[in-house]
Amino acid sequence: MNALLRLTLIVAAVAILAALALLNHHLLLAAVSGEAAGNRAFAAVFVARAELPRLAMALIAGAALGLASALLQRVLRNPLAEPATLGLSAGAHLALVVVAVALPAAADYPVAVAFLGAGAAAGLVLAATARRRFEPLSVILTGMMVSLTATAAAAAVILASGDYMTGLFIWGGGDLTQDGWAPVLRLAASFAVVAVGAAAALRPLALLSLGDAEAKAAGLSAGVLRLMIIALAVWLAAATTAEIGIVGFIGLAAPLIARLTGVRSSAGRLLAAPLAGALLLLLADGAVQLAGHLTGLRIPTGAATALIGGPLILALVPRIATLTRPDVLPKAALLPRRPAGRVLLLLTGILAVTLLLALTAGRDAIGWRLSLDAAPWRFARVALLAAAGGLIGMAGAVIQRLTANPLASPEVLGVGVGAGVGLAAVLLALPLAGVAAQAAGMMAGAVLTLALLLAFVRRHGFGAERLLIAGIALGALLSSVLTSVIATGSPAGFLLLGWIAGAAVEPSIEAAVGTAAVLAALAPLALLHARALALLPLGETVARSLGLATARTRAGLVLIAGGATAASTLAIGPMSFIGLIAPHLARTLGLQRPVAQLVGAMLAGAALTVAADWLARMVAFPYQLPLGLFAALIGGGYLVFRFAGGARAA
Amino acid sequence: MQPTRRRFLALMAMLAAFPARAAGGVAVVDWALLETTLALGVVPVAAAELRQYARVVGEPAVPEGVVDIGLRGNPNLELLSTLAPDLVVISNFYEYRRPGFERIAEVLSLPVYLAGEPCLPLLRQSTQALGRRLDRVDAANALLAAFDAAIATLREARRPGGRPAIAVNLGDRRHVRLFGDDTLFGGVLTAAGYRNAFSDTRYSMTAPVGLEALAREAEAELFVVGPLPPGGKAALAGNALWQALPQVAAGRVRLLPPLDHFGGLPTATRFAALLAGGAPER
Repeated sequence: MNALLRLTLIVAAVAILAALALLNHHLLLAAVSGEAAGNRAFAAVFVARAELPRLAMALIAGAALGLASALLQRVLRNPLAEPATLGLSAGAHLALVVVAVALPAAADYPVAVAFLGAGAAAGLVLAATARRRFEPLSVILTGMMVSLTATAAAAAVILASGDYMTGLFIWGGGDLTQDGWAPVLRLAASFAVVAVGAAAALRPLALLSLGDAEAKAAGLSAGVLRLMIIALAVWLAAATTAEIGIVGFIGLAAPLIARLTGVRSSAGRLLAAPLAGALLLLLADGAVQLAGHLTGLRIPTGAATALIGGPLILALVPRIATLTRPDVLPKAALLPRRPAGRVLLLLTGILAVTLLLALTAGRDAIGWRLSLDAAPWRFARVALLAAAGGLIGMAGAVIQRLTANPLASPEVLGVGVGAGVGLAAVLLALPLAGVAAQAAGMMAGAVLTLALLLAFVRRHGFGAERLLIAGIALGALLSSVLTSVIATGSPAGFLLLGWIAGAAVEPSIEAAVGTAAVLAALAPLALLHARALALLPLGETVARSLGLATARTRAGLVLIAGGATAASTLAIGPMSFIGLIAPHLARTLGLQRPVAQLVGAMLAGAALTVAADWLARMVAFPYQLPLGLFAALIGGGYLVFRFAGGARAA
Repeated sequence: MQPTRRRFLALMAMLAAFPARAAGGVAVVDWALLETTLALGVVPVAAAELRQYARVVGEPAVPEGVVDIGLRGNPNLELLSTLAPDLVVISNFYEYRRPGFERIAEVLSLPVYLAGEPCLPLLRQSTQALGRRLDRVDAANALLAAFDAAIATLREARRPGGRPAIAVNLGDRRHVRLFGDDTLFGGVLTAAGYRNAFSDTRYSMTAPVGLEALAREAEAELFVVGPLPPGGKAALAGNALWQALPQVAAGRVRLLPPLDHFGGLPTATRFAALLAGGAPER
């Protein structure tokens, strides 16, 4: 521990020096560039009103993220909890975007608006995981889903509002540029309030960390205390997002560094985390500015911190052994069991009606109508969506069984975002690339991501948790690349925004046939793994003792799920709740056995996707809204209804 | 359920009130070509994203009854097919959707903006090509003449002394987009004899730059093309950095109304006329 402490001290000293060097360099450059133009007056204002506040903002925002995360991690007993992974930042961002577009008058109260968004995200995550007693991995999974959905919804809103949103573009990527001291002072005030509140909660917090039973014995209402502290942390996270946008992973790294310095007292750690956060963000921002001066590339600071944070989670994976608690795994007996034949027949009927309506019902310049005229225009689209929905439903069922976690979904594998990075590469290299080149880029991105994921998980054994965490880390890493491209505000960025929102291009018959072929190839493969899918949720030991070669089986299943996710991503965009809901719906309807659940998830996935798309095209007719938005609305509603309702009943 | 149904019926009645339309006519997807079509005196049957057009472009106004076919990047082909136009006019931006349009009608695709290439020559050619196809050759020539006249007026109205010029759009409080040589406004500046202080940018391809970049060209005249970021002029007044910019401090800044950054010749003509007009707008 002594050697580690010394090492940490050295690293900290180097970091301080590097930060100071970057700062000097930058102030010098600004002054020189101002003077070179014969403009001492502007240079003076620039340093006083832009550079110095930026420096202060980096420090205070880093400290705020460090403190908020330290509090969240303490209360939730979750080493991965922070504003970005819990969806707080994305929720705040969505609220701010919506207000900027729809309710400009409320934009004068950004912190309050951000708090509403972040609070809603926190409420959703906590409600959805209450039944699993806030088990860390489930909390992070739900947080990531909320985050992805809020991102898709924000993208849809920005798209719908047209070209006004340069600021939102830049700021979505986490931007520290300042033009005065007011934001710094506002955030400092929030920080002070939360710090005082945290200090007051420190003693009860220490008791809490002894465990619920002891805390109760000491006469404390653990639940109320926890909620209070979470509310404080959410407020701080919201205030930070309101001022600088989404800056991820500072909150992940800061408490970790605090722990590594060997500080043992909880007071010491709550002090060390903000300090580490301030230093980290200062360093990251300095590095971004230096890179900007040297290369002319503008990288949003938030994207840069995510670039650092992704590998950090991957490095943390071996250290995180106890994210799931065996005592909170759901009891299968609680779910209903019904004759599979009848349920599947019902689902098939629902799908058939959905397809029929999607092909014939709609609007034209005159009004609503039900006719076959539209069918030739819609056939390719409906076929493609049904196949893609079936694929994503199947992928969700496989992943939920593979990881024994009903909150896991294909999106968290990072494959979809990988496809987006492939698309970004094609768009940047060939601005006028056709649909075929775009699809090829997406495919290459998805395959590469999947290969990376497999290689990583193979090294660390195919544990369910590690698969999920590695997927989350990869996804975060890749989405930071996407954010950077989108923040350029270029046409490529605009196209990517559309893709994230789930606005698929006009589909062709060829694409529909191709996607259906992938479904036809992968579905039997998945069904052949029925026995493994039945055994894997029982745990490694049981599966192995029953003669299942688990490592190879898991690799095969990851490939099937990844391939299905990639193919569906090409058609319906990277994120939707459908992969999460469809398998869930199948189980809720009483399909407990693997084969029945797989088929049920495919049928439900197809029906949900087609229905969401039909809604997206009809609600604002003739404006065709992004499918991702509607899938997210349906999914978010389902999550709230299902999990929060369940929590009340329990 | 009841109110929803009533609203649904009301909506249907409202939509049914739209006049039935005879087949034929032209549909325009690209905005630069839409304003050109209107300026040529042709009223299209359908055009894309008209709500946003009214906000961003405004002039020339789109007459009542032109059917909105939805987003430019994602037009409603099903709706377009029911209108059965004779001709669909697109630009190179929408070339990747050509197969869908070709299922409906003949497609006329005209180049308007190509990265790194001055756009004014392209716009002149496209205006003439559109005039030929729509049987409005004289009107097209009149548009070109009006543009040339506006440029000539601006050339004469320009203050002597030969200050360089900067044309920008304000992204937010701290960022601007620069209009370089391959943009509409950069092209007009150069045509009118200005030296564009930031000629070597590609609006269509580059990121917004920090406000401080403008300080490097302290002597330039600054033209700000609308729309302004949220908060408008009041926000600018309270923006210390903006006020400290040498051009702003010296009063060499002009705020212009919203103009389509990817507009056609009519927008270019308007821009030139606004600059020559002298008095600051809005």
